[in-house]
Amino acid sequence: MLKKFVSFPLLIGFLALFLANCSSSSVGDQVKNGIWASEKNLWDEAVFRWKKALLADPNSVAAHNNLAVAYEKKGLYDEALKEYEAALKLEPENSYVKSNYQNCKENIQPAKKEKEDKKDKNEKK
Amino acid sequence: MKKNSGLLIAIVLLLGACSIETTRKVKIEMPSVPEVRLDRSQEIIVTNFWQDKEIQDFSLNQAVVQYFQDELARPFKGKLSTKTISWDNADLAKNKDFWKQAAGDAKNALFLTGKIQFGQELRKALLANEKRAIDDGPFAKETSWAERRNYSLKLEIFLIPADTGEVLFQREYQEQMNYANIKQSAEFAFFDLIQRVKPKLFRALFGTDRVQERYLLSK
Repeated sequence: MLKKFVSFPLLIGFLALFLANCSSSSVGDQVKNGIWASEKNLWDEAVFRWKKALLADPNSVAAHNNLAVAYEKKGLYDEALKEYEAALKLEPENSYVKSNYQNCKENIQPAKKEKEDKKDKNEKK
Repeated sequence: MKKNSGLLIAIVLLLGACSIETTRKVKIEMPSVPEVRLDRSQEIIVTNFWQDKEIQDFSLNQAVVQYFQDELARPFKGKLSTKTISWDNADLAKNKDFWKQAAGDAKNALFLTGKIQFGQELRKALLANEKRAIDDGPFAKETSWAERRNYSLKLEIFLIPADTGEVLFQREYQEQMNYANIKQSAEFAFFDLIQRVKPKLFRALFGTDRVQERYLLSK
């Protein structure tokens, strides 16, 4: 009876979809929940979710990258750069992380300049 | 036929599975980096400003100190305090030792000080108004005196860290306004003018939000 409705290729298809969509380990869940929170402008919640994802899997590029974006949003530029660098260490060719990192660096130019000026002054002293 | 359709459905589902979005391009209002990192200071000490001349019936210095104390309270998370200093000369802002000494125990503090000039004058202009006068033709012109009360504010702001005594930030702002009401009070005009200075100064001190694009990854 069941054979009549469900053919073998159809079963494979469903399985593939299931694997792609629902292979979400706790890491994937946390990353997705973080994205959901960020869409609702709940950045503290997003940070919490992505930090949790990193605790479960410290090699999650998505969690590092997303956490960096959240830190940027919160004005924590040094932390954001650290997270982008961690993500790029894991996946140096990831064009999305590279793009984010580049934009972040451009955004924080004045702060860097101020830091360097301070350093120069201290060295002169 | 049945077998083929099943295969087709499987391919479609597989394609669907492969094309599941793993990145999301988002537009986020990112705070731009301010010129001065006030978040690294625990305290801002607002001092009285150097003032070239006193204004009748209006305590300019008191108003400016109170204004900055009130307006900084919201964006600045640290402690805010005021201090009265004696401005012996207009160049006191550059005197490192003075500020180091004035700081006392407050080492991680930032002085907000400056120079203020507030002026007012009555401006008159001869304006031509078109007036229909029967004797001088249909569009004869008539001139009349128009009076405006002009107020100007020149504000030079200095931010000086207590530990070094060196000027960290220096910016000059100039604003002026004309009032048709020639009896406009100096106090009223001062708040109009300083309200124009505030967004320019706060943009430098606290940055502003700019919409930027970033990628969020779901895998």
